[in-house]
Amino acid sequence: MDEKITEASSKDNYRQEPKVGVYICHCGGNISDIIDVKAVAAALAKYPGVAVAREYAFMCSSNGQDLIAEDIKNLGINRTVVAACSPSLHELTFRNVLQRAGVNPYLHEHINIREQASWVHKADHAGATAKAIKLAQAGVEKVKRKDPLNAIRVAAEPRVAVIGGGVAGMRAALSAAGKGLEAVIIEKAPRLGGKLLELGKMYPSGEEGTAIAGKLEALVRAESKISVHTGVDIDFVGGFVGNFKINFKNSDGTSSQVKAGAIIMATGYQHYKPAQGEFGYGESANVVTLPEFISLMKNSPAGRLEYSGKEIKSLALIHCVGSRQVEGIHKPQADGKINDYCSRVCCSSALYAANQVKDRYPGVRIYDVYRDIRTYGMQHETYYDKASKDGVLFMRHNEADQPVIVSDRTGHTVKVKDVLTWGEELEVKADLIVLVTGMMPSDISLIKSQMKMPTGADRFLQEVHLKLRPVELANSGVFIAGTAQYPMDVPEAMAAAGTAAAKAAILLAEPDIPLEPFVAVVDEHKCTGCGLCPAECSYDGALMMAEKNGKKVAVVNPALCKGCGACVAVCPVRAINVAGWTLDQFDAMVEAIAKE
Amino acid sequence: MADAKKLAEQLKKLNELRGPVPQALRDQVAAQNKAQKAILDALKGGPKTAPELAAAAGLPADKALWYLVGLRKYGKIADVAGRGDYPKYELKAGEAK
Amino acid sequence: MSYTERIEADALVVGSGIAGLQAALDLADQGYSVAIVEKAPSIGGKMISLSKVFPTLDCASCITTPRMASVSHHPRIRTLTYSTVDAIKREGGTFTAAVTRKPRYIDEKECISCKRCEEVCPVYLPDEYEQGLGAKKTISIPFTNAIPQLPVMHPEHCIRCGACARTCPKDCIEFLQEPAPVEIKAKAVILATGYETTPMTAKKQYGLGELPNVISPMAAERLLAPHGPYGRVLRPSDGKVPGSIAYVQCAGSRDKSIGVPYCSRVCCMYAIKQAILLSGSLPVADITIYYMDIRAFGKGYEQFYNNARAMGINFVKAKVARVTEDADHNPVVRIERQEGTSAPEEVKHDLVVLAQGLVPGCDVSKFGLGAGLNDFGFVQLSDETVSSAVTAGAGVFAAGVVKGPRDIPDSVMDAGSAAMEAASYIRKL
Repeated sequence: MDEKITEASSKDNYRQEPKVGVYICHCGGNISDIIDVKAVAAALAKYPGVAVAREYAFMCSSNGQDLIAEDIKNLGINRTVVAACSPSLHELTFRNVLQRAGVNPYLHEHINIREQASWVHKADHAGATAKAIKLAQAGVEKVKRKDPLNAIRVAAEPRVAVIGGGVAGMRAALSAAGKGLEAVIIEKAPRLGGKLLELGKMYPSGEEGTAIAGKLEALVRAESKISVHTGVDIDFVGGFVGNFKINFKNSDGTSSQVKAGAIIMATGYQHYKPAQGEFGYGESANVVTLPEFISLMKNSPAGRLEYSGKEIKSLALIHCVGSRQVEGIHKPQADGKINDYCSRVCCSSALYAANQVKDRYPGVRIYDVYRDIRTYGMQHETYYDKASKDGVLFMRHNEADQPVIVSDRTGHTVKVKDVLTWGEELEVKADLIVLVTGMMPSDISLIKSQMKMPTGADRFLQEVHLKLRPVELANSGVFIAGTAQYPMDVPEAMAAAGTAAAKAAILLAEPDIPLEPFVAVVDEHKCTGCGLCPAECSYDGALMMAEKNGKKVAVVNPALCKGCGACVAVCPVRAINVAGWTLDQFDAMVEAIAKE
Repeated sequence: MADAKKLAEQLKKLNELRGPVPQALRDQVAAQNKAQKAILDALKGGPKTAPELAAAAGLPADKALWYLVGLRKYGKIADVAGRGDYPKYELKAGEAK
Repeated sequence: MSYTERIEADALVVGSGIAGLQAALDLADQGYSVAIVEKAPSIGGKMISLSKVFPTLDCASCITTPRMASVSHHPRIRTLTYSTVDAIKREGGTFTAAVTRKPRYIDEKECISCKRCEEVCPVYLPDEYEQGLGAKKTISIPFTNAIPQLPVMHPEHCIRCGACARTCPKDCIEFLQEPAPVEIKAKAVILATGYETTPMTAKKQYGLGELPNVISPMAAERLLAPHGPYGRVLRPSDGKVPGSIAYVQCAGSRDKSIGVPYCSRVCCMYAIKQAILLSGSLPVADITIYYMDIRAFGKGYEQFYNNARAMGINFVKAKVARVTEDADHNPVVRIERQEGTSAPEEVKHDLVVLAQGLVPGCDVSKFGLGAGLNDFGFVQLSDETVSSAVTAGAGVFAAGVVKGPRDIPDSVMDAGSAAMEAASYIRKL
């Protein structure tokens, strides 16, 4: 008896009467602490078309997934509704369950009762439960009307374009090439190496920035699968996963194009530039940033630390300049936002530099003015230890009591309300002020706007999910490597770049790439050829009018269509639908929700 | 379900290989059973907190709490909803006798 | 040696925490075959036992279980749990690992995970998954989300009553099971053996782990987890709802006296996260964090810290000289403030969490793979400014905390690069 059901259902399950399985997830307590999940399951079990409704602690766990697979096998379930977290987290997880169990993966509906019910109605348990029931019922109505879909497959260029030739870009290209992929580095500066070329001795290895960059560049040059374009100006980035195009002007004025299946954004950072007058920067002499100081040290003669020909006998490091800014205390940047993030690397860099000063010029007095010392890395604490031992004088202030620099002909006076001496107002004289500046993302506004790339409130490129998809942008096929994402030191950028290359290699492991089938579909019988829809389409070439069987109709290019639905909205005769999100499905959902 | 004879043979072999079950382990399990019974008996009089049950069973409070955790996990007792510094526990329906 | 099984794979991944899982997936998704060896009875590592994770406050299970499921369903990944790597030999381009599958004392192929053995077993034990706060049985499935869902029996606690065997519907209890040696041949090895926290017994001034209401951060994770031992936040000494909770930062890091001079990177953030979660479940509780420096250096971390301050969590710049307790087991924290006043004070709390640091989870030098270690037992990379995964041992790569403390985002971001280095090494063999 059982065997017969299994056999019949596995053959062509979707053409049968819909048998919906509904699965309510507790999400630990995230959902079940607020929502009466048993009541939701009971209500859904009675709903027309539902064959089984269950609740479970973690539907996404292996046990939970097996529960669904077993129901498909034993009960002939041919469509599923999972009421759980956001679909961005786990819709794919459950589609895969269906696929493994032999059901078309798109006959699944993921209903979000965590963000949309339990989290937003914490104080109203009964209301949240009622809402969860309605949402799940709407999901049942939708899934009953779903058709099986198949992923659209597009041929992919077996090549990775790496934008940016700093250490992250070089590492990403090397890793991709190591896997056998062609990689193209596109760098705007005349040579490879990025910001490292400007820096002197760097932690953790103590090598010069140029030496670190040089090691990677030698490997890049030796790799036949990597081609390098330097001194170029990108004027266009477009296309879609598997088929990106990057147009750029070469230094000799000629134009080139690179076609790539994936893009790695290794566009790096820029140093925070202090505002005119910030701690005297740009106004008083002898106020420099840490990167400026590091290059200055490189050029300073042995035995005498010099700036503008004058000997420096004392200096003060001011931490968190351009980082950890506070609303109301710090002036916003040009875009109206403050830099409220920590730039991660500056504490270690500053102390590493202080130690070099003490090693080379032991007589120089150093004051270190900070809020928190964040020497988090494996060896970084030793920089802090050494600096303390070598007599660097630390002064600590609270965010509300910013240090003040008063400058006159005799030099600078640094005034600090020092926490370490229980709030004493300290004043020290210093010949040189070194502003420990943070990182900001490079200006990549052209690429960002052409590709509609997401950025966070901190303006860095925004990954899809910090833990689940940490180097992927929402733009399918585009990955992030290094400080384009957030401040990092060199070893951290190496890790991020290797992982970005891994994701690109996984994407391009097969000659073609599966795309989501949620694209516009035109019913040619209904289409009147009125021509309203192409004007609404924001994706070049995705929707055009064409002659078909002697009739003018709208025609969709599924590889370019993003399924946004703008065309659906303007069609006067309901001739366009987005597959998987049809108007009939929406109507049925609304009706299910509105029903008394 | 295991064949009784096969099981008896396995356990006999086990005794030969590892020696008899140590007395310390037997004592420990006996103490555990006694403590659990005392807690369940005390709960027959109605919901109680961990320190109350500890006093009733003659156990240190942390030990009583640990037994409560086990009894709760394996479905013998349940939490009583409510506020207060010390939450109460009650017998689960069907465990009263 | 007569092996019960021989496995061949492109890569061997030692450890199945989040770094090992991710490295295995990133290799397998490129077409390589992977064998994972995990010493615990379940894959998932430390992360699966956490409550929620910073800075996004996703529930840890929601992020980890799908990775675990992907690994267990992956056609190119073979996983051996409750197994130890005893030795690895390298000959030419091939590593041969001798692995022991420890006996679970059940027939793993026959078991249907019904838990009846666990229900009838009469012997209760402290549950290490719950950091000793919870109870389990002598035969039990490790935890709700464990993969595989197989019980483990601890024969040293078994009174040989036979109840489990009599109730098992598949007759799969095997009291006489022996360890099973397995041989794994692989072309590359990825070390992802993770960490342990510094021991609670490390510091006499902090009570040597003998004060019941001075707990480890992992225990605090379990108190906050949805299926934690108490089902809510209580203190272990007497089941009281704590009204005042304190965190002692750097309780196992930046401390030469215990051999951990380095910063453990995660403690500030997990303390802030736990404080936020605690203030969610105990809205009237006072929560204090005693700290030297708050190191909120990752993406979104400073904002997370600022949110915690805005929620009323009390951040106190102070050194904690000593933690003792009063007659009712209330922890008493002796602090020396670094701000405000300099006189030492004693502050009483209901519950104290020691922010322990991270130390290596495994001495990987025992494998003799040529991967160098630093002074603290973490794997030293060949040149970390060139690659974040290549060790001095040819074909040996490292992922995650085995190289030094790092948080979950940094470990996930790191694992792919280890997979990539292994892939290009294998390709060039």
